[in-house]
Amino acid sequence: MPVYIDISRCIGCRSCEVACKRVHGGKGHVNVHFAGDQASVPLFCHHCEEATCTMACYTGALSKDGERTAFAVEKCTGCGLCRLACPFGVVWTDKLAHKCDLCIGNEVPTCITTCPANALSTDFDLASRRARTRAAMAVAHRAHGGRR
Amino acid sequence: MPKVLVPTICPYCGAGCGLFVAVEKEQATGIEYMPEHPASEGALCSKGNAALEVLYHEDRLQHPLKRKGDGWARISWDEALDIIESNLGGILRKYGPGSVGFLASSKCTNEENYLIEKMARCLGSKNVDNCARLCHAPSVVGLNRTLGAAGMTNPIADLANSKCIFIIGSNLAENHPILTRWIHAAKDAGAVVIVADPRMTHTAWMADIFLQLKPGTDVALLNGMANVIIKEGLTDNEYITKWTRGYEDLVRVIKDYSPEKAAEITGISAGDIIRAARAYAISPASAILYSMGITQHTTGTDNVQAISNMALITGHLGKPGTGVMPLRGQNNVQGACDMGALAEFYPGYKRADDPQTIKFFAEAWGVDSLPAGRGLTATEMIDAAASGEIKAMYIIGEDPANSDPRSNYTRDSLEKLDFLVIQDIFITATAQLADVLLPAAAWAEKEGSYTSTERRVQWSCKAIEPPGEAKPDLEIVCSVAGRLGLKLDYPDAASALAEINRFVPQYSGITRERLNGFGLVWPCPSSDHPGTPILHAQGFKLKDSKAIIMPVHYKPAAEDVSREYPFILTTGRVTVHHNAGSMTRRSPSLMEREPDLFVEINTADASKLGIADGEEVMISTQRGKTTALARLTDRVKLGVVFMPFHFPGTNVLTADFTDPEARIPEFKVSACKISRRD
Amino acid sequence: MIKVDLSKCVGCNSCSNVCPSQNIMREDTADGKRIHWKRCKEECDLCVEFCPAKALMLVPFDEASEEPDASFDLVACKVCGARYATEPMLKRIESVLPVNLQKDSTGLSWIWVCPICRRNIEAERATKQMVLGRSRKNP
Repeated sequence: MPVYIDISRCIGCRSCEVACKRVHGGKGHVNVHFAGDQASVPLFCHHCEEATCTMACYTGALSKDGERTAFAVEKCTGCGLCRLACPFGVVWTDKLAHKCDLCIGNEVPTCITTCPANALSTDFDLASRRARTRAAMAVAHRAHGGRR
Repeated sequence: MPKVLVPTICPYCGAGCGLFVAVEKEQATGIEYMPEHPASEGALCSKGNAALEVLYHEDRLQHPLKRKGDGWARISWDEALDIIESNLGGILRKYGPGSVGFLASSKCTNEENYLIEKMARCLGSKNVDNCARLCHAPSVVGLNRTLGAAGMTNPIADLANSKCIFIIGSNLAENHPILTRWIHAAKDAGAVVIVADPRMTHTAWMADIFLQLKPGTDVALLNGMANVIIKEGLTDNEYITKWTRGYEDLVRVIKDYSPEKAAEITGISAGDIIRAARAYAISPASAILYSMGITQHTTGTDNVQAISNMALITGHLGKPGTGVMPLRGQNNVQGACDMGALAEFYPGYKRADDPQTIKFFAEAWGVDSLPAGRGLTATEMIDAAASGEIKAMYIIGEDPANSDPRSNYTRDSLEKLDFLVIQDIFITATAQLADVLLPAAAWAEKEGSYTSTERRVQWSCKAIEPPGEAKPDLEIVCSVAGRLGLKLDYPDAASALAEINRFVPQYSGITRERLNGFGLVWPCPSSDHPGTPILHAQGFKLKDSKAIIMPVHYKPAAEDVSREYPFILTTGRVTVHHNAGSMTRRSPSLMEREPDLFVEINTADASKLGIADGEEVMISTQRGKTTALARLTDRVKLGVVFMPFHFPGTNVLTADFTDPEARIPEFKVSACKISRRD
Repeated sequence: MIKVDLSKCVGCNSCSNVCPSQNIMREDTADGKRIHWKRCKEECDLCVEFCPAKALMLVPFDEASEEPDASFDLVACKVCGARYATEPMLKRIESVLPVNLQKDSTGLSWIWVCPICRRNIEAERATKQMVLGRSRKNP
């Protein structure tokens, strides 16, 4: 279960990037991209069901552990195949590979806690639930008007 | 080795987020979040996450230094204090206290700011001020006048209860990022968000209605909106009658500001002005959030009063989800102002020109006399340094050479001083001009209380020792004061807070014992008072408990475009940097994300000038010129360019035309020209 | 010492990373990669064990035999032209992934795009609706 993003909330502050790097000894696995001047989105491991990185990894360093795509650094040879096997470009190699590990050992992934806009969550439906509630509220407001 | 988590308050912006500094073997090794914090819920922006990079930076001032030729010689604390006693003391004796200026620090604690202004005034000098002069002085002056108090009227978390959030002149998504979680929560509950800004910022991404106005035309917009509200009968007449005075004057003035007239001045469509006005007025709870885009103008005080008028005629004050919210920039600018480190106010906003104030504090401080009347403001001190009226300055945690407008003039003026003492954590551009440098402790190396923008007073604990011989500002100020003949005897911050409790009514009940946890919101008049999250719920602390509606007229900005300088230059911030950048430009995590000074130019404008994206360009104003990298974007309209002021160079261009009352410079509007570097 | 089957070597970083004695030199330039295996007397066989292509084997030390050398041109990204990987490595990825893997409608052609462009494409996809909505509000 990866970290999901409510793109309507991303403010491009890059706190997730800085925090991820900080808690992983200087090797961060989040990259915030800007779509021109109109939007921004952090990119990180999707923990794919059919994880291509695990298919390319021949030492077993990358493997599926339930919903999580796990990485055992002690098995990594730094070959670089996983980086090329990720369709989203979110496996990095800096001698050894590194990618989002869902901050295993923490109760909540660091990016989720630090995000000022509360845009990140492990609840995949949260963003669409919020959008549906907003839409419903907008209709209700139009029906009732303001306070007058 | 056990890891200790020490609770501190983030040293960057006024949101006042809490964070734990993890300490192992007396070293700060990490940060832990504070999920129960009422404003941040544990969130922390990129600056807060990088905060530790400042603590161990190699540039940290570790020893007192004195000027030696073009460089510095290391001296002992005793020698530094000797030099200050002889020079600062000498100037005080020879030319009188009016010849010395003190700048307190909006990064220092409440206790430290209180002692700085006490020291200045007990030495007989009226000239004490802080950088609020450059940011929210119009709020301090304007809101104290119209509402009887200057501070965010409602808590940050209360924004979630709003049904209409009007953000004008604030890029809070980049400068107070944690506010966005509450604004989004409000949006999820049906709130309408209106954003007024000359740029389409990340904050504007949240907008349902975006008003892209011409820089410096805020009064026209706000008056235009008030016009619609009054004309369409959307005012809260009961509220106006019960809680305000001056409404009839406003009605008279507002007649001149039809939406069409406002549209002509601002460049926004009349339709959008009407939609925004209606949305704000008819919602059951509306809040106005504002910041530098409103204050940093020659009409800053007028702008603030126009905002105050909007809230007063619609009754959007004193209830959850409503409010007038000045977003304070520095972590303790609110506190520095509350503590009276201001030219026109003593602690608790008692007016310096009121004999009652002088009587009160003379008695409180056990002195025969205190200087009465408004002293020189931070901006005026620079002029006074140039003219020779001020011969010496003691500047603490402030970098006027980068933060003040007209950098070249500011630098020249400070150089004219006979004696300049700088107390800071780094050798800033201003420190380069000093005679003596005093090394100070950073936020995690001392303790004390800080007041965030929502008037929340929180205690920040000491996590590690300061490096080398650096000391907490409290200790340094007491030592300096001692050498200048005063007895400022405060063994720790708590003892200074105890005195603040006695003499600052808003802080009476905010005692050290009660400040464990998430602090208290002033006014807190007694030790069993829970604090006052929402202001003005039972009227205003003014005559008859009524707020004052102050009609204002639109006046154009001081500088207009011309054939020679055809572009409007406006300034602002980006998320990963903070103010003059002395801390963030030394943080590798932040510098790698925004390393250079840039200028945003509209794509069509750039193409006419033959400027490509990323190219080095020269920007010039009447004050000077600066180079920057061009960033082509459609986020600014034709004819408007934007530069962040975190890098030296931006303020070389800005002018020191000031608001006549608040004396804040008009950073937000300058006329400039741009050309390719070659 | 090391013997290399150059037809199998994919030009990855494994052997040069795992060798404990720095006998395997790797030179990375902007558009190419060179691997040079020095003569070694070491008794370990880490490079052989961890070669993904099983291209290495150990043979008795022979002063006379040439030190193996492999050179690769880096493939240019189909979108931005940056050189980012050796062709054998990319072909190997292609071969281990199921041919009907569904990322989007382009099948496995993303393999021939560099990781930076892959991120840009993903970012564009993720923000498309948002950008559309926001630019409609503020044309």
